[in-house]
Amino acid sequence: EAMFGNEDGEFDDDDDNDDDLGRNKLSEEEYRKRLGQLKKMRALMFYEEQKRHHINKIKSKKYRKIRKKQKLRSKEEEEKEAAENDEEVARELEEKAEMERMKERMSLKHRNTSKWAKRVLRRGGNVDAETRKALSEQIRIGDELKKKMEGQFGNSDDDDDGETDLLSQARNILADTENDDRTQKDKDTGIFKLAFMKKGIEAQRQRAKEEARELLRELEANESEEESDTKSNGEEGGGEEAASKASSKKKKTASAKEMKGVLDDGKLVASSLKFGKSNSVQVSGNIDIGIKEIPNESQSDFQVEKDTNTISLTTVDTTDREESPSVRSTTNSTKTKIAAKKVAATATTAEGESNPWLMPDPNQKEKTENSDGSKKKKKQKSCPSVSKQGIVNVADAVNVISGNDEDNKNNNGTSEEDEKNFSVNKDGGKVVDPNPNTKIASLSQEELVRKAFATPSEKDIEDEFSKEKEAMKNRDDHSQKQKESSKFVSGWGSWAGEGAPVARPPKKKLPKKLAPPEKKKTEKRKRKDDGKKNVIINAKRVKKTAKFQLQNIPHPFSSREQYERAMSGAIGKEWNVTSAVKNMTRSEVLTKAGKMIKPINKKAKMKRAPAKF
Amino acid sequence: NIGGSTCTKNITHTIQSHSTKSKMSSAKRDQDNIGGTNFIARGASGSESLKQRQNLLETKVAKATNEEKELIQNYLHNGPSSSHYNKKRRKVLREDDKDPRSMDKLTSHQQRALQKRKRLGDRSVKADINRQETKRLEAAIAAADAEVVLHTEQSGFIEVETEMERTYKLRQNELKNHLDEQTARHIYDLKLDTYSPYGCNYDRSGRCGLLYGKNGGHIALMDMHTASLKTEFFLNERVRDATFLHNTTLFAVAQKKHAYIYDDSGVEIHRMTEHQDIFQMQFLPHHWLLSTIGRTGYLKYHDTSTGELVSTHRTKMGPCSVMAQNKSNAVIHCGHTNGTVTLWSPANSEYLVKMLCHKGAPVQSMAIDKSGFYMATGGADSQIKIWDLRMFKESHAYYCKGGAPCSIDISQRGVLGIGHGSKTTFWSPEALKVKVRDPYMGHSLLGNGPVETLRFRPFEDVCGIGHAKGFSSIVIPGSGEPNLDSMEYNLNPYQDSKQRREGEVRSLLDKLRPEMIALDPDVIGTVEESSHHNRVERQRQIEEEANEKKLKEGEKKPKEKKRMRGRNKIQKKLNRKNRNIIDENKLKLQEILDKQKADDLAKKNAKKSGEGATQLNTAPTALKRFFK
Repeated sequence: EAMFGNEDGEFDDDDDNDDDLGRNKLSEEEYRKRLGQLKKMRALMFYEEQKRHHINKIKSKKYRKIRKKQKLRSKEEEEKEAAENDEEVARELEEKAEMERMKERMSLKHRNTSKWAKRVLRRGGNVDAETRKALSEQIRIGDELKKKMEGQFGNSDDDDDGETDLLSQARNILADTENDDRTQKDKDTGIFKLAFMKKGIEAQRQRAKEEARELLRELEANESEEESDTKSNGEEGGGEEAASKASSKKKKTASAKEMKGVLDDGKLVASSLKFGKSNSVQVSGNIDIGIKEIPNESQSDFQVEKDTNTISLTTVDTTDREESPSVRSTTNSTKTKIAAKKVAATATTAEGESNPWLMPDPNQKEKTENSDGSKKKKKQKSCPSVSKQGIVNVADAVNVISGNDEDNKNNNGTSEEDEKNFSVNKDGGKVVDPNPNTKIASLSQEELVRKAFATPSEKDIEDEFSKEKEAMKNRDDHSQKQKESSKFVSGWGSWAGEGAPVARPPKKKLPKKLAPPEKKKTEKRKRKDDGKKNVIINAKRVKKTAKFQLQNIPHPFSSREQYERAMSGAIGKEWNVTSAVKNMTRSEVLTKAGKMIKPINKKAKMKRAPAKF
Repeated sequence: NIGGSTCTKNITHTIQSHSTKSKMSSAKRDQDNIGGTNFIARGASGSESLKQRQNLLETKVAKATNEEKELIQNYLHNGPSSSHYNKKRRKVLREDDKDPRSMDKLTSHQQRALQKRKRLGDRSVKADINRQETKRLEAAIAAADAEVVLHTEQSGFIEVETEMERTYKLRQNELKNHLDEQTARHIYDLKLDTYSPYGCNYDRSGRCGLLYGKNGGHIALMDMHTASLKTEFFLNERVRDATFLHNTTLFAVAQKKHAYIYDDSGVEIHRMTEHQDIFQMQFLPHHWLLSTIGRTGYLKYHDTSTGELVSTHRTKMGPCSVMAQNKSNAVIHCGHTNGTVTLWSPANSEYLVKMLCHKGAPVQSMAIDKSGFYMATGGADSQIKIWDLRMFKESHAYYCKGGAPCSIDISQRGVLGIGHGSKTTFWSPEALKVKVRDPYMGHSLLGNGPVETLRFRPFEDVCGIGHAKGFSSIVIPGSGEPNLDSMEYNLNPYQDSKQRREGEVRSLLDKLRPEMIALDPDVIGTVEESSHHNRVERQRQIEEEANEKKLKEGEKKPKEKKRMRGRNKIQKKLNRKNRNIIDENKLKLQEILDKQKADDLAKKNAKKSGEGATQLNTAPTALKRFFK
């Protein structure tokens, strides 16, 4: 710009006077230099212009697309920046986005209900890539909108702590692998049957699992640390209760805020504790065993005594020396954890006595679906069998309540017996013995047979038949169909709302004299089977047979009946005596051989002589 | 009296109520010396002679006995069933014609045309019809007369001498003593227990019989006249049904998996893989159709002359093992396990009629009489129900003692035969019309096990019973038609091979189209009913058809017209084509043209130059070339 604005002396240079061309004060050299600069500038501009022109001529869609995206991106960035700096701009932008969304939702473009989308969908794979892309774009937008909606109204609980989600996911995966492990064993065939292969696979699997567990532990540790950091340590109560409370609080997971109350009541809580057949133990939650509240009942299935006071889970190691290393490590980890938590549990054996309905299969496992339905967790129920020595066989004896904290909360109110039996039902608390077979069992043999081979009563048969007949009737009655098709709802097809034209007043009925004759209503189709209870006669016109029928009366006849009469009766020799056939097939004009036949002439037309008989 | 359309009515009327009017007129005619001879002298005009003829016929009918009158009636209307249907249809048509709305449907032009036609054409048409009907009546009388002459054989039932006697107490061995030797020969038992139970079937002439051992597949083709074996072979397979085709040279067998066709020497001609798991077969001789039904519940029609599968109907009622054909209209009846009977034709994919015959009990057997009026169905509830097919109404029922009816047949003369348990009971023809107290005859198989099939032999008083121990043949007097029709194809038991061949060709020529099968056999060639619903349906069907056609062919682009006018004239087109071809001729022409132009220009210039021009003009032509 500076180059061109010289005339008015807008130059700020000190020596602008010297530079002025008009005053001839410019030296030759300088002048040249200037000129050169000017030329260069011009050339550049021209080049730029040409370039732009060239670019504008580009027809490639791909190029345009890339270009557009580039532009958009830069613009977005700019806007972002602007929004960061200025609140007003940010709000404006938000509004704009909202508007767009609203428009999108109004247009219903994303729903694939448009004519275009439908057509594309119907054509299926035959559409070109562009169209397909466009369609998928719409679908994507739709999905986004849906997500947004769900984000607003849906379960925000799940989303707000992604960390725990991650954790639980990890746990699930681990559990699944364990499960797979078991099922895999049964499936081993062929080369995998060989001992060394098995060993190798097993080792590999163990390694992988170990890694996974490590990761999980890390995650949990992180979490708990965070939690402890955030929570103030100042909360301290008096006595044992307070101490336990505090300890529990420390180990609480982020999602386990509701646990507080539960823990007080002395529940065994482990957010996820798994026992496999392989004796591997994973503790992926916190184990809090509050001894205090557990009632001291000798009759209870799981007797707990205060005196024996503690069993540390370290004893696990002693019970099973030949555990796999992974198991050991996990148990170790649990040991440390538990030690840190100072969990103490008391348990004495109740030899022989155990839950009767758990007895037959102590290792019975039950898979129940979480009430959320989103995650599957396993619950294990096992009859507690704690040895006399105070050694807890973890695999068998420790009953694990694994479950959502929520569920525990739900269970809070339920009876303690549930707790004792260690049968925790996630959905509602109580374990209801489902016994749906009792009804059937109570039926007598005779009744059973009657039920199994029941024949419909006469009335049922008749009803069914009449139903079929009715269906046939409706199908064949066209007057009914026309009526249905002409149904319309008043108000449809006319304008409504503000600014709508005034509705036309209903047509005035003409006086009776002037009114056109009322159209006769088409009466219900008369059927041949009307009044015949047990008969359906198909009234449908048989198209193929109708081919052999006439639709209109042929020429010389004036009524159907007349035509029918003229046509009826056979004239063939199969049906008649020879003389009758001869008579009936006699040609109209009889001439003797050799008789002259006159050409047709109006005057010559004579009455045919009557036939001789 | 010759007043046109009412004429036939009058004639039929006189036949029915002959007593009063016609007797009087006959007396008159005796005076005129016309009656008594079959000859009518040539009258003054055609109408006059027609009148005379009519009078003559009337007297003849009036003099006839009741039986004769019935015969004439039958001939006049192509048999009793036809007359029934005709009457019914005409009634509908008359109403139809009266319906003013049918007139409304026509355009004004058509209406006028119709009125004109009525006005002008009526008389001649009426006269024509009148003449035709007189002829027909004459033919009917002649046919009835001929029957009296031709039907030499008499058929009769066993009659009791005293009130206390019962015909059903008569045993076959007692009956044998009274029969002539020829007939007595037909009472026999065949002990065939290796492949039993046995089924049997006769051909249409009653000459040959087909015995088939269902368990193991023994097929025996027998000449029933001589009681000799024609062919015998073993299939080592379960056989469910066997039936003759158009004549005795071919027969179809429903085997374990497929249906097969064998010839009379036992050679397998065809295997019909389209028919699988068949339980029952029926052959429709006039249409050459073999219809089958079986486990799948699909009713299939197979044209045995062309080998094409004509149509397949899904009955939607499960496996079906009961089938019968109505011989008067070729409609197939199927009995189902839910106690219903459905009627089918190849043209309609839905049943024509559905009847609830036995409530809660499967239909086990069924038979339809020759006239097509009566149907007898036997259910698992041990009931035999008689249905009037003209009205589709149950008329009455019989109870079967000693087992549910497993096989029913109605003979040519209308004897109803029922096989139930190891007994067979026969009811007189009256039993179809009204409820009869006692059966006509009975026969118990005496330890030969339950009855499998019961069939009457055509043209003989014989009934064949296939059972668990083989085959029995018994005589039921009065069951068969005594008079043969040797002219009808394949109905003559005494036909020789030449006649058979002739008949085969003729029946092929006279073969009816499968679509012609309808409840009312005479509906072909008539004017369709035109009620409102019919019209709507017809319109719809036409539309559907057109749409289908369009869809099938795809819409054609309108072809560009070749107009021979203006720019597109042939000459112009050619010229246009040749415009840029430069040949020698064209060059020459061009040159000439150029030259001419130059000349003209020169002339013009000369003219303009004035003096020279005048000189040029005045100068003789020979000198003109010097002016330049």
